[in-house]
Amino acid sequence: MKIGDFVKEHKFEIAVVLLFIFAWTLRVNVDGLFLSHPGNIKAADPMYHSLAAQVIVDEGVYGNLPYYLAQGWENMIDPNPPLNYIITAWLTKISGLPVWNVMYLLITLFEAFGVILLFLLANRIFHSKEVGLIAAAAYVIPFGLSEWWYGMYIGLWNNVGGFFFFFASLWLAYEYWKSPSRWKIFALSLTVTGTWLIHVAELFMTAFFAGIVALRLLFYVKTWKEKIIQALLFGVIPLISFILFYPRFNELSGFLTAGAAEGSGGGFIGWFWPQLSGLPFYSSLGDFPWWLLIIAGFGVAQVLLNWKKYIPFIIGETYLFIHLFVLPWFLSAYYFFVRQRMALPFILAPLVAYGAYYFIIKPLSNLTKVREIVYVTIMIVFLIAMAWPQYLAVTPLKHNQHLPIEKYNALLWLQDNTDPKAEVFFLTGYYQMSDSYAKRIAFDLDLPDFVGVLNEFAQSNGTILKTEFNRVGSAGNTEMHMLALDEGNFFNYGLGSKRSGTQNITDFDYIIMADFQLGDTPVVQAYNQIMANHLIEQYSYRLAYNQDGIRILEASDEA
Amino acid sequence: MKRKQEAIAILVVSFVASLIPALLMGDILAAMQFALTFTGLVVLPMLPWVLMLDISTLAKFGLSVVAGLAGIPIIFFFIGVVGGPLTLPVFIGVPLVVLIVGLYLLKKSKKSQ
Repeated sequence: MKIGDFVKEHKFEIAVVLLFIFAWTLRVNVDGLFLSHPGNIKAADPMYHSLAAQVIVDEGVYGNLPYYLAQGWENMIDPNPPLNYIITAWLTKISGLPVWNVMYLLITLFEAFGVILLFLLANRIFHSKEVGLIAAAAYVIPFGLSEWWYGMYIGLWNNVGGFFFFFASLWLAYEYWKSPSRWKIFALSLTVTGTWLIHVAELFMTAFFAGIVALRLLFYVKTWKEKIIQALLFGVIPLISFILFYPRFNELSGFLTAGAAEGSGGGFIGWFWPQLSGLPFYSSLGDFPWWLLIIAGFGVAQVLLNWKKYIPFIIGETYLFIHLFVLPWFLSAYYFFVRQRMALPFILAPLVAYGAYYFIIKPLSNLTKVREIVYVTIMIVFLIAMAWPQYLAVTPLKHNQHLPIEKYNALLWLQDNTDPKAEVFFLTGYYQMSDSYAKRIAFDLDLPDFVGVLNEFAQSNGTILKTEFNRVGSAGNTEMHMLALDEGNFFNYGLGSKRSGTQNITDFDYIIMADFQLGDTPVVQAYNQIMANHLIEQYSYRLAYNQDGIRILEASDEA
Repeated sequence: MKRKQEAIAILVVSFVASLIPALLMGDILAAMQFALTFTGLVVLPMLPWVLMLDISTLAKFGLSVVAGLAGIPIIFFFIGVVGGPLTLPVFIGVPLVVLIVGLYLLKKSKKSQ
């Protein structure tokens, strides 16, 4: 086949692939990639995620947290869903690239792959490549992207992976509904397992569609032999993964009710509607522009007018909107419902595309006698161009680095020059688990707590120099990943005891201070200078490292 | 499209699609390392499996990425959670076995056609 003929025949597919590459590159550019240091990691969650993958690379096993992420415990199990860590470790080990780059490339792939999945899904539902292409284009830069990409650029990375497997499950479930077959149900079993093993919260959304598939299998597959074969293909892998992973996850399962709406008293059922908008990462349909919602409304009307053709689509969309907008009124676990609204651009895109095609492109094409593909192209350019200013507004804000190379170099110094079991207190400048990259037993004073200390210091004209703090931990004052201890047997883990949140920094082998991160304020520099002198004079610490505004004090042997 | 052409198209798309965003590392060799690893370990082992299916080429690409990122790591999870090693031989060996079994089945399916 000649190249010209090939392009002509596959123009829609080629366009989708180009949109996908564009979408992936745009997403990577938000946080960026760094060969020298983890400059693209913005918060505690991705610090942990990337290190958990690094541990697999370093130690060649999965299962236990390294002692430096577990306050020195040697036998602490990792209760987190592991698939993101395993995939990243796999590709990191073979490629030899830094783990933070591989993980971010994967997470942005997970996000951008919605472009491909939307084309496949919308094309199948509406039997129209034009609609599929518009749906894919609407996802390249979703309107209101700071709401929908938050999980990607701030580091709720397992969440993004969960959506990837969930969206893939939607596609496969629809394919199975249209014509059941063994490979479809087996592929679906992989994506359902992937969802569960990467971020449990998306399993709730996936479960409904898996249930529909199960009903389809039960009632429409003809012979009992085939029913049993397909049931096994569907059930065996999720079941084995559940048996193997749930004992670990069990200790974290309470975490899924965290972030419960205020007033719930920690309960799962109640009346939470008045508190919804105050929840973290709250987003809603109002984050889309009004005209996009109107086009989507046209899509809804057209679908309802042709309801007989679109029954599975109507059932799916209805469930998703109930899940995101009605269930959180009275079910409080916001990880299951409210935060899942990050999926809205994907859920809305087919409706936008259908509405745009039937109410704008088709009439225009009929009226002007210009081919539809011309208007489809204009629509694609329009959707991306209209969202482009939002991309330009958000991206520079995310180019700031949580762990710049100066601070990373100090962590490398700790790795190279201290005993692996040394205990380090990160007094200033390292927050949200960025200290974990030292690979040492680390405690820190998190930023909100340090602000109080700093105010007290400033108000006393630099005379109050506390060495004991009461809200410290291995991730500031948070209590991450310290729940399960490998005692007992595989199916029944014990609990580990955590060290006190009150710690005196003079009990630590090393104390580290950075002059920047709080807006380079002179008061931080003054605090660090006076505190360093105080520790050297009163507690016999010595200055072991002093570069780029970062000091590392080492306890003397006599102390 | 013939299977061979389809296979080449899917591999080329996978390589180029993963190379371009990885170029933001600012190092073409590093970007190629990622693109080769992604294409060779995630997409290639699934290729014979998806080539057997009667779906569009783009759907085959989509499925090979989705199944490659789910199926192979789930095997790693089964190995790792019971204390098995997740080292270089396993990270290369498992995708290789998936590829070989797929190629065998593909060959068999060709014969039966």
